[in-house]
Amino acid sequence: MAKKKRVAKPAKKAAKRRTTKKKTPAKTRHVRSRRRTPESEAAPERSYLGKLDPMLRLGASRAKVEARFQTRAPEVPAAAERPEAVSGLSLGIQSLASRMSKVGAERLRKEDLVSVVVDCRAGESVRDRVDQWGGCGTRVSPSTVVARVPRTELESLARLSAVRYVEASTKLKLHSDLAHVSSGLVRAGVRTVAQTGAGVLVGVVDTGIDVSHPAFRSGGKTRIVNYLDQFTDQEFDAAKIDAGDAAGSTDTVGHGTHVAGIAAGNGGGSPNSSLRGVAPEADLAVVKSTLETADILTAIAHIFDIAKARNQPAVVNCSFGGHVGGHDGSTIIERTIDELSGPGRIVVVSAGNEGSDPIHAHGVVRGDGSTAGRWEAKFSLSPRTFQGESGPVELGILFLQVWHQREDRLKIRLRAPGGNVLDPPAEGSKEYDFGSFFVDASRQVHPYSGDTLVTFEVITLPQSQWLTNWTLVAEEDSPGSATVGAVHAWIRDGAEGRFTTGATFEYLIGMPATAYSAVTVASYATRNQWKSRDPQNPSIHLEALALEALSTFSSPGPTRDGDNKPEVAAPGEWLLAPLSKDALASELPLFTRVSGIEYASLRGTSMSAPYVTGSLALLLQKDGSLDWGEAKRRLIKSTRQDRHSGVCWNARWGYGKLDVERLLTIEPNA
Amino acid sequence: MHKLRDQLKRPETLRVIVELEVRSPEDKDLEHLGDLGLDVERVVGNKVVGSIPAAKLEGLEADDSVRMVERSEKLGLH
Repeated sequence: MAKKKRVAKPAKKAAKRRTTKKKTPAKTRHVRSRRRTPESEAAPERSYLGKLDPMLRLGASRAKVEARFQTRAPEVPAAAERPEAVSGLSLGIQSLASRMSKVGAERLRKEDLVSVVVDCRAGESVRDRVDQWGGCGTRVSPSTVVARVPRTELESLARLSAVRYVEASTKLKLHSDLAHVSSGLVRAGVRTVAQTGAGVLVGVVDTGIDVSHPAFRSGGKTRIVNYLDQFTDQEFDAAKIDAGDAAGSTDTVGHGTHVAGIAAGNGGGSPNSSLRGVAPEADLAVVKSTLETADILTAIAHIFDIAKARNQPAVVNCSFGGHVGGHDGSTIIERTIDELSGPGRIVVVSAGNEGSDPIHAHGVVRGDGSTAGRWEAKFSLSPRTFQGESGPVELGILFLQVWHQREDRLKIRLRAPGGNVLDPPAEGSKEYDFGSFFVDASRQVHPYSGDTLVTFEVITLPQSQWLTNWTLVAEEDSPGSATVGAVHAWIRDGAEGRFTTGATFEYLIGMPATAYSAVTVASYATRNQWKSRDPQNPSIHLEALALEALSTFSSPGPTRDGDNKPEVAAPGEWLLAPLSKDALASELPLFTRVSGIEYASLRGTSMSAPYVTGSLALLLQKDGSLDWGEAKRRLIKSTRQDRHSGVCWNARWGYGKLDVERLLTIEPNA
Repeated sequence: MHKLRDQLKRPETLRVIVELEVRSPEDKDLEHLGDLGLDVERVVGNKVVGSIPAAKLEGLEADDSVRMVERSEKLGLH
């Protein structure tokens, strides 16, 4: 009875299911019918394959085919025809293995494990499943698992409902940085020029350097011939550095180490030394600077003194700037750069990162001769916290410089939010105190250019009615008193405030980049992805960033007196270069730090300038007596233009993109 | 007085870059700068880096041997 019951019950259930099927609406039946057709297999296949990195799909598909049709294995090329390190693997895995290190590929061959990064909802459960399959996984964040998965289980992994995406772990590409390809320094993995910077001194005035980084060592010795710390006034030669005496002069910002590495790192610490700088055999002289203009001036002179003592040509990199001064190369530090530069002495300066900052306003004040010309620009202040006499105090403080040419007689004044008009005196300074705001207004004729400089220092209470609705007014003294009428105004720093009307996104190259002799460098993008140490973002991919396009932050020219700056654009958006071991997390967050090696990915004209510095070191190796004029001429002659740069010269790209190969081969009289 | 401005700490000593009228300053020129209150740190051509009490800045600017004085500005990294 019991046996009959056990048989009968399923029969009844089957009959019931058949009955139910007949009663199922046609639409449902149709769907069920489709699932039995060959095409019906494709829908769910597409679904799970869509969760696999294309790099892995080949591996998963191949594994599936091999499992079903063992006899079709000969489709895989014979071992003799395949690269040795990856023989015996399916095509997809071969391709994957070709992107891995030798060690990784060898292990892959032995164990047939695929390294993946899994984006998922339940990291713990995904990791457990990987372990069950004989792989190994690590949950690096609630939504990310890094794992090595048996090739045959890739499909199973992608089918897990908790898995959103499985990406091949490619680590770093084992070839030179993308910037070198863009600049023509490397083609097909080989340097296009013979020069390495040997015998040339690359000077770096910056935040210091990690003297222990392998990129700055060669043959067990440092490549840094001189290291000056302006904070402690200590100076170290190579012997002292090798003795460990400079260990206390750390680079906690990480900026200087990265900059020095772009110009002259030798790739030490990167796989196969693949992340070489532009001039990997140049000598280095580094100044850890306070970045005050007085110390910068001293630092540049110091580096050229070192070069003179060593009888070497030298190129000095300055990846910094500010917006005080005439923006015409007339500040003392800029003219000192002009004086220090000469045969075998070149200074390179970054254009600046203010390309999108409304800190400059420009107008032409010229009437029709019967009425006085007039121009206005509005600005606002940003409240900030300052150290006061009795503790922190919140205020708005803005430093505004207004310049007009010596040919013109203009009135430059401020109108405060309440309507008060604040005039500078004819010469000297005058203070206005209205309780809620204070203004120091001054006027002087610049001793060098002869142009008129009107300066306003504005201090306000932090309430919005005092921070906003300030107006800069310029007008002719009398009808026809302006010959040129050009008025330029700069807010010292975007953190202090911004122009709300009258802003022009040009003339944003600051000092010392406007120095006449300096090579001024803009930035464009050459990289938009890398593997980072940030567990939340292990694979950085900036999809919106167009490669080869100008960096939006790159400050445009020209100078106030119409000089064509920048001269050249170079790779500066996301360059891989040495990471200082002492860099603070607040300075270089995890996402900038490259996974597995002591390198960082940074952007800025700070990065594009040392690229040109390194390139000029190569040029100086070829001809150590070149002066800045001839170096600039060759730079300009050798640039390349494309659909991004458009017609050059223009204010953002200068004369075009740096082309190192052409720079090194161009004839002197070309 | 200036309530707002007085809330801020103002440096008593200023670091400056001084451009001299003479092309190659001699010891007597530097001694003269010392008399004006400038503590000379380094000379580069006819540019002198040094520090001076804020109260003596106007006197330095007005001196006939001085062509131009700039305050040392802190620049920003790019």
